[in-house]
Amino acid sequence: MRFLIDVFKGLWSLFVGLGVTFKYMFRKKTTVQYPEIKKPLADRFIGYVKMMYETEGEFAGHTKCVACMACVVVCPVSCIQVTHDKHPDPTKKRIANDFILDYTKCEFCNLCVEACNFDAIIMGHDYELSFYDRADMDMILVKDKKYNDDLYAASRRQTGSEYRPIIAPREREIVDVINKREHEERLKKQAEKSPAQQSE
Amino acid sequence: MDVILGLLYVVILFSLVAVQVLILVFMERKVSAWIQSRIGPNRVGPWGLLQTTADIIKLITKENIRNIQSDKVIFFLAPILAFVAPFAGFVTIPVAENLGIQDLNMGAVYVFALGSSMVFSVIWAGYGSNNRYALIGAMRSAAQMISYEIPLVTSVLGVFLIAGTLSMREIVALQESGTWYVIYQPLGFILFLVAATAEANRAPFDLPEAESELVAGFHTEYSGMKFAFFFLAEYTEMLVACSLMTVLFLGGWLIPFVDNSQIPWWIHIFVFIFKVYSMIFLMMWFRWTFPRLRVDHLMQFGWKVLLPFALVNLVVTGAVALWLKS
Amino acid sequence: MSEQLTHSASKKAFRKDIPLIDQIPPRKKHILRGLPESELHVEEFLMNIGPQHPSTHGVLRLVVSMEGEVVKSCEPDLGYLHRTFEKISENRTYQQIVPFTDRMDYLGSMNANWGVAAAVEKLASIEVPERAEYIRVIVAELNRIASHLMWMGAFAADIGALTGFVYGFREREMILDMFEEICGSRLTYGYIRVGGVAEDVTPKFIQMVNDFLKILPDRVTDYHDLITGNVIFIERTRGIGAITLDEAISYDITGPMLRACGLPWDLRKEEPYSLYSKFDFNIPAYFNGDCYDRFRVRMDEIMEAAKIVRQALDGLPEGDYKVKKLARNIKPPVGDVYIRQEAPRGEYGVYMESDGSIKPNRVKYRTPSFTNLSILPLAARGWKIADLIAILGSVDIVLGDVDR
Repeated sequence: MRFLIDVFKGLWSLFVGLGVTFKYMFRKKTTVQYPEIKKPLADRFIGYVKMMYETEGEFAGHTKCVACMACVVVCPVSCIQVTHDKHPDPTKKRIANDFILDYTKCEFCNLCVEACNFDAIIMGHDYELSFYDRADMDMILVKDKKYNDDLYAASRRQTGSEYRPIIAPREREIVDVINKREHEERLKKQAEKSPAQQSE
Repeated sequence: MDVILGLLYVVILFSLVAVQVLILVFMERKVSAWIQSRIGPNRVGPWGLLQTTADIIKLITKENIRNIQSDKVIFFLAPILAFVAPFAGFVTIPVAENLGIQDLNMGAVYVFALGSSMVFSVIWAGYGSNNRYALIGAMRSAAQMISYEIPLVTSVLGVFLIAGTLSMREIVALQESGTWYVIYQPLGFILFLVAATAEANRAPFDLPEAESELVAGFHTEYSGMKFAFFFLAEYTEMLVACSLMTVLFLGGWLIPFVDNSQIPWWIHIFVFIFKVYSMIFLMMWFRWTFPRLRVDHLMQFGWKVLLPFALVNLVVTGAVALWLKS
Repeated sequence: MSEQLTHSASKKAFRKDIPLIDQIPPRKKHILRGLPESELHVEEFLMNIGPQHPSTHGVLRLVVSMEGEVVKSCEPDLGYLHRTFEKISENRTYQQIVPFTDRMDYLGSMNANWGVAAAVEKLASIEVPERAEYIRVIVAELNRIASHLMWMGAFAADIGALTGFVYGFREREMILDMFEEICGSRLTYGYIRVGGVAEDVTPKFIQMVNDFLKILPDRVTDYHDLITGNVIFIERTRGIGAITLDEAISYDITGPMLRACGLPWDLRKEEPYSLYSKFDFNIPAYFNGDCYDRFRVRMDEIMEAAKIVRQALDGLPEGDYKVKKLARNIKPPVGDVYIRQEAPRGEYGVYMESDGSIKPNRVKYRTPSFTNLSILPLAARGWKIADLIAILGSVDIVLGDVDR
């Protein structure tokens, strides 16, 4: 008799389990269809580091970073390098030339952003971190906003992905070549124009 | 001429089964997804219907890797037998009236005999691939198949007692006048369902390929097309088991409370497929709900629970049948 | 103190000149002599489980000697995920250590952060604001729930119920969303810092926690229906891998594994740190010390942790969330400190020795997974291979925590 009771108790527990799975079969699904639909990120989301630029004043378009090296010192894995130039603003000493961040090392700990006294870097909301090449994981942020935007555009052109705002050295070279060519063409045009102007 | 006709039957049957398996794999994925609050495949083709096709193409084009220490012949033969044995079982299953390849006068026995030869393929695969996980999986499989073969057959003996025949088509035809045999044999039906799940190596009885313990069990070393054959075999066996259940217990192609002779044959086919798929859904539902049994529990369950109940069922059925006859 | 103990134990695992398996007797050679010792001679064979295996929870390697399906001995081989965190910590400033601790116990990062933060605060005598302590308790208990949910899923998957796995992850996802809201990360938080927490909680976070606490009891009931009550699950776990209380204490087992043996030992009650003496909660304990009791202890702990979160959320005071004026480089006075806290997996200890500079002189982490794993050879002996997986799952190891 006890055997029978055990068998039926066991059978009943199985039916209870089946009931749970049956219930969830018709509940709302939790899947988010990722590339099409993206979950809204929290405001504090830690993604790529982004450079902030002056928006107004005489030096609009220049980076806010003055190369004080606070972030370089505080980084637990030493993944930040900053090179600097003389700042065009005479009241300030230095301006960052290149802000190089090695994503093979970065821990996304947010310490560099917290250490920054000038709000020059923030944590962006881009999170697609996949690369074909290790060298691509060096991200370079530059002092000039226009140049920075050019680099972003080139990066997107090359990878065809709008999710990849990272600037790798390779793309930088390409942009440099393009810019140089454009510059030369502009010079050539000016040279063509200038005799005409002289004739007037 | 007969040879050509036979070959034609095989080709048609094979393509039908292959298509069914594609649908079943897709269904398995969708059912598991729904149970787990997911959506499941929905990218390849309309509603993700071509996902399995894509996977099969991937498997076919994959390299066939063989462990250098494996037994070449056995390693090669195992997936073939694994598929052929349940596939041949389809021969006797009547899909609709006058639609079935061959009606043997002891068709049920034929199907069970083929089903039990599945164990050879699993043992070959486990032994031939010279892998310890595979070997343990094969040993488990041997023990499991042998001990579940007995309750499987015993549980359906009640149906044969009532029907008085072993021919599939006659059993279905007998259910037309009266009711389905599941009403006469509810215990037998449950026992058969459990034993058939175990025979098809489906969870919660999927010990030979228990992935959390044995990586992939007896087919750990298989890749590419050979692996696809094991995959195909599992689903084919499930299909055979569910078809058997439909024929023996659920009235085959018959629709209850309706004069079936007036209904066209293609509706019968749909009814049959619907019944089979409901049973398969039940099996999938089991798989995605229950934990896996342990080896000794499996044996205990087979010998101490399933077999006594099956014997009691048989004795009671026999007594009642005798009493009604007299 | 505990450093020496664990060190001598770990030495064996890391040194390659010591043979890995020494318990296994050498192959008997009597067959060659033609004199069988017994009629039923079963030959042992070695099976290598891991480092790549579906259920070793990371890169653990188990060298298992088996007789058929029965495990005769089982030797864990560690070190595949060793990243020298103790040495790294000695070369970083006190603030910089915190992000590394995320990588140790990556399922209980908040608790790992807290241990280091508490050690440095004790070393440098930093007074933490009350609000910060409340926030710490909330996030640490939420992390405990997340860790136990994830463990429940993984354990169910080890037993073979794959649906429990997904259900556990589904609810854990909600907690990760909360953590994303307050600290911007979903796995490696680095939220609890020296002198408080990184950022204040937001109203949205409090709303999310409230929503979660509302649905949690229903979901836990579902887990009990699906897993705990299931007859197959009970058969697979009851009595399996049972250890006695004496064994557990002599092996230095802590956390839910110890509480499953019958001793309601929990540092939150025994040595109440932070604010735990203020809250009303129970320490669940069961008496058999088997896999089923470990499962039940953790399931009960989910509800107890939810109770603490609710109380802490209701009592959350206004104020600062971190110490206002904290030197960028903390220089604690010369001395040493040992802090131990109740992490989801057991007792998590941090030993820190200061020489007065900006970097610690010596750091030692006492991680619960490592010591809890040490009982596996004893607990698994004589059980079947399927039970070995269940026992390994019930220990709740995180390989980042074991290897550091």
